[in-house]
Amino acid sequence: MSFERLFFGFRLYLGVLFGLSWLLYLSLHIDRQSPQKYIVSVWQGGARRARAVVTSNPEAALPEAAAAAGATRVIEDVLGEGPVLFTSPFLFGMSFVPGRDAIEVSFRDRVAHATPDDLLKLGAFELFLPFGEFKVKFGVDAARAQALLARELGVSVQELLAEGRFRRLAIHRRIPDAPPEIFEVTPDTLRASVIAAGRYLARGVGPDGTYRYEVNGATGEDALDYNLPRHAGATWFLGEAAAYSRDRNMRRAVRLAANYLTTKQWADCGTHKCITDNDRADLGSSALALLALVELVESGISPELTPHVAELADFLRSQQRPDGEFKHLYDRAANTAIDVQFLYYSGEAAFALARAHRVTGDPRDLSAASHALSRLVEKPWWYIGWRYYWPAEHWTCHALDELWDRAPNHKALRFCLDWQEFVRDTAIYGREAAREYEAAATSGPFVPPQIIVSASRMEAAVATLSAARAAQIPAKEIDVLERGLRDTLAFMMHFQFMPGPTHLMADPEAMHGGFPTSETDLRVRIDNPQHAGTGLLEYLRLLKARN
Amino acid sequence: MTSSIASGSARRWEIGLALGNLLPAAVLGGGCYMLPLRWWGLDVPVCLMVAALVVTSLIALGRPALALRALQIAASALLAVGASLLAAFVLCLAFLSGVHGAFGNLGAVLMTLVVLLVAPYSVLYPACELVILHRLRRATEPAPNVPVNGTPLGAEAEQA
Repeated sequence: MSFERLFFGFRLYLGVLFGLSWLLYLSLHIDRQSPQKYIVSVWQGGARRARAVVTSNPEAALPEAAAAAGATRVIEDVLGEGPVLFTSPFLFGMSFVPGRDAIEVSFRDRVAHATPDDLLKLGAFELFLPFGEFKVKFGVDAARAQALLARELGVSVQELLAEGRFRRLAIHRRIPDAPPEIFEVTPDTLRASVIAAGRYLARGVGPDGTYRYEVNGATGEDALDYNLPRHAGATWFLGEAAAYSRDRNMRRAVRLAANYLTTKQWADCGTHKCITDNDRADLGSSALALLALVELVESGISPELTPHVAELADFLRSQQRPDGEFKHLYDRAANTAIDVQFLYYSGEAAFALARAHRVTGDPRDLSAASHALSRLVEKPWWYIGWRYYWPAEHWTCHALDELWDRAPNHKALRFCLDWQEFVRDTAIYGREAAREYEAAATSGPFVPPQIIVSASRMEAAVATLSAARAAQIPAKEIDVLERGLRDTLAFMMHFQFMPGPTHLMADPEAMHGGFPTSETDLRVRIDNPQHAGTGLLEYLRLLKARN
Repeated sequence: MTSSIASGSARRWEIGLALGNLLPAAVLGGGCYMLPLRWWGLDVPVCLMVAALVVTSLIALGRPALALRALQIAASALLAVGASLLAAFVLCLAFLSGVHGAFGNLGAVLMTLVVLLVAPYSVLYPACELVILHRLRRATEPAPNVPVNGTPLGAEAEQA
C-alpha cells in the first residue's frame, strides 16, 4: 500500500471515528439545567405509597397521600433527558449515573419511572462485575431495574424489552418540608457530628458487648458476619467520643464493648495475653484493643484496665522482629509467632504501642513504636512507584502524630505529607453529575465515592496536620493540607445520616448519626463512624487548641 | 501470488520486519494474557492475531520467496485489529463522557493513556510496515517503463 493511499485511508478512518464519537457524545450528553418536569413521590415507612409526574407546582401534588401520618413528599426535578441506546445488561447498566439518573420507560400508552430512590431501595446500585479476583462496582443492575419497571407496567420483562422505549432522566432530589441541611465545618457542626456518630455506635451495643456490626439503612437488616479488629477499633472511637462528650449512654456502652474484649476474647498467646476468638491470634485485634483500653484508662472511664494495657503492649512487643516489622499472627496451639504480614496491622501496632507508652511509661513501648514507624516509612531509593501507588497509610500517620512530642520522625512526616499530596491530587473535583462529591477520595470515575475511604484519608490528614504544625513546616504547605481536609470533612458530613434520606429507611432513628458506605449504599458498618468520627474529633480538638 | 527473492538490503528489511512483528505479538499476547478476565470477544481475535504474526514471521524468515506477501498479510491484519481496538476505545470514551459528563481528570487521563499505549504497536507500527513493504515490493519488481518518484528502499543494492 502506498504512503499516499495509506495516509488517505487514515484520514478517512480518523474522520469517521471522531465524527461517530462526537455524535455519540452529543446524543447522550445531558445539560443538567432547570427542571422541565417533576416526579413527585410519597414515601411512608420506607416504602413508596404514591407517585405522580407533573409539569408545575410539584409541592401541591398528591395532597392526600402526603397528608398521611409519617408520609414524606419527595420531589425529583427532571433537569434533562437523553436516550438509552442499549438494553443489554452491561451497557444498559452503564447508561445511567448512579444516584443521579432515573429510568423512564414508555410502553404503548403508559409510562413508568425508576428513580434513584427506587433503585436504591431495590439494591440496584450494588452490582459488582467480577474481573478474576477483583470485583468492580458499576452503574445500575439492569435485571432488577427492568423487573421493577415491568412490574410497574404490569407486563413481562420480555415484553418490556421488546416494546418499551427507555430514556435517561437527570434528577435532582429535594424534600420540600425538610429543614435545610448545613455542611459548614465549624466547631459546632463538628461536635454535633462526632456525638451523633458516637451515639450511633452506642445504640448498637447489645447486652453481650457486641455491636450491630453492619446495618442496612434501607432495609433495617443486620449483616450476619462479625469482625474482631473492627469491634476493637469502634470501641477505641466510642471511648474517645464518650470521654469528649461525657455522655452516660456512650460511657455505659463502651464499658460493655471493652468488657467483651477483656473477658470473652482475652486469651493466652504463649506466655503473653492477647485478643482473639480462635486459635490463630491476629495482631490487629490486640493492637486496636490496646488503643481502646488506653483511651478508657486515660479518660478515667475504666482505670481498672491498666494491667490489661501493659499485658497487651507486652504481647505486641513480643511479635516485633529485630528490623521493626511485626509478625502478624500467633499460632496458639504451636505456641509460635507466624511471620506473615497483612494490610494495616503494623501501623496499628506502632500507633497502639505509642499510645500505650503514655499509660505504662515503659521505655520499651516507646522504642518499639518508634522503631516500627521508621520501618513503615522506609522506601528503597530506587523504587519510584511509591509516588504513584500508596496503600492506606492512616495508621502510620496516626503513629507519626502520636510520637511527635516524644520521638519525632521527620522522614515519617515527609512520608505522610507526600501521601496527602497524592490524596489531594487524586480526589474528585469537578464531577459534572455530582458536585457534592468534591474532595472525596475516588472509588472509580463512574461510581459514587465510598465514604470510609475518604474518612480514613481524612483522619490521616488531621494527624499529619497536627504533626506538621508541631514541626513548624512552611505555612503554605500547612494551608494546602488543611484546605483539602476541610473539603473532605464537608463531603463526609454531607452524607452522614443527620438525618439523611429517612424516607428510604426502615428505622431512621436507629440509623441517625451513622455514616453510610456511599450515597447509593446505605449500609453502615461499625468502622465507618469509627474512621470518620476519629478524624472529626481530632480536627475539632486541633481547632480548639488553636483558638 | 507474487513471489520474488529480495536483494541483500531488501532481505535485511524483511528479516528486520519479521523480527519486529514479534514485538507487537508479545505485547498483545502478554497484555491479553495478563487481563484478569477471560472473554472470547477479546481473547479470540488477539490470539488469532498473535498466531498470525508468529506464523508469518516464521514464513518470512524461512521462505524468502514468500516473505513480502507474508509480511504484508501480517501488517494488514495487525492494522485492522489495531484500528478496530482503537475505535472501540474511543467510542467507549465518547459513550462514558456522554453519560457521565466530565467524570474527572484521572479517568480521562487513564483512558487516553490506554489509547496511546495501544496505538503505537497496533496502528502506527503496521502502517509504517505497510509503507516499507510497498517500497520493497516496488524495488523487487521489474523496472517500470514509467519513471517513479524517489528511490525505493533496497533499490540502491540493485543499482550498485
